[in-house]
Amino acid sequence: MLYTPDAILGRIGPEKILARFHSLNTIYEARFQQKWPNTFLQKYILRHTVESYFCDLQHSKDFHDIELANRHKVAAFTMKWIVKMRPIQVQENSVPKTPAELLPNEIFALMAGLRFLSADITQLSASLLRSLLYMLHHRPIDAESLSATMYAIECGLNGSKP
Amino acid sequence: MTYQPFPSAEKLRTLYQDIFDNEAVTAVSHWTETNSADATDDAAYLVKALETGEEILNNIDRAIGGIRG
Repeated sequence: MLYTPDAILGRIGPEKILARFHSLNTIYEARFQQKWPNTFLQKYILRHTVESYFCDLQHSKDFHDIELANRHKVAAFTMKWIVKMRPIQVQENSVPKTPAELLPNEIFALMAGLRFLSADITQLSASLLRSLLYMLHHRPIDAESLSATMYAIECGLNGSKP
Repeated sequence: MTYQPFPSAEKLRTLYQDIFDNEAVTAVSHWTETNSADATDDAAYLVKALETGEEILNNIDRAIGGIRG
């Protein structure tokens, strides 16, 4: 079995890649753009984000012999590649009024990641939100570690024991 | 927001065809490291391009896409 991007993306297949691209595009259009009108989604970079996500996740799945990634891994790997590739751009003439306006990719990554846990960014406390945004913006992201964080967040939101 | 069913694969293919047909994105997404001889060759082109300031983008494209001139 080959582990090049060509081979991995061939194994994943265009349907899954297109579906994920569409999902993220829809989250942006339906949930993000209204609140952040000074941004736009660069769709070519989004495609690169999605394809990089599938390649990276597949490496992890192959190495650990995982057939299907759980939703925490899906969330974490998605978040990692959004903050790395930065598909959301701030419009050229936009003048930020708040610090958060300079973090559209971190906020979008969190929104998208939480969607995979059937959760919403509004369910997070202000302090956790601040901490997660700081982590996504300033720290190197290890998606496999981040998946444990997403698991703990899901437990916290469900009121179950982590 | 009204519920909208998830589009079929065929519809998605049509909707995003220009994005997924774009060869520049394909080259970057499918970018692999070249073997040592090719890498040296590509690096030499890049250094030359940076030194002369000519054809920088063409040479970078060549290194990413593995296009052999």
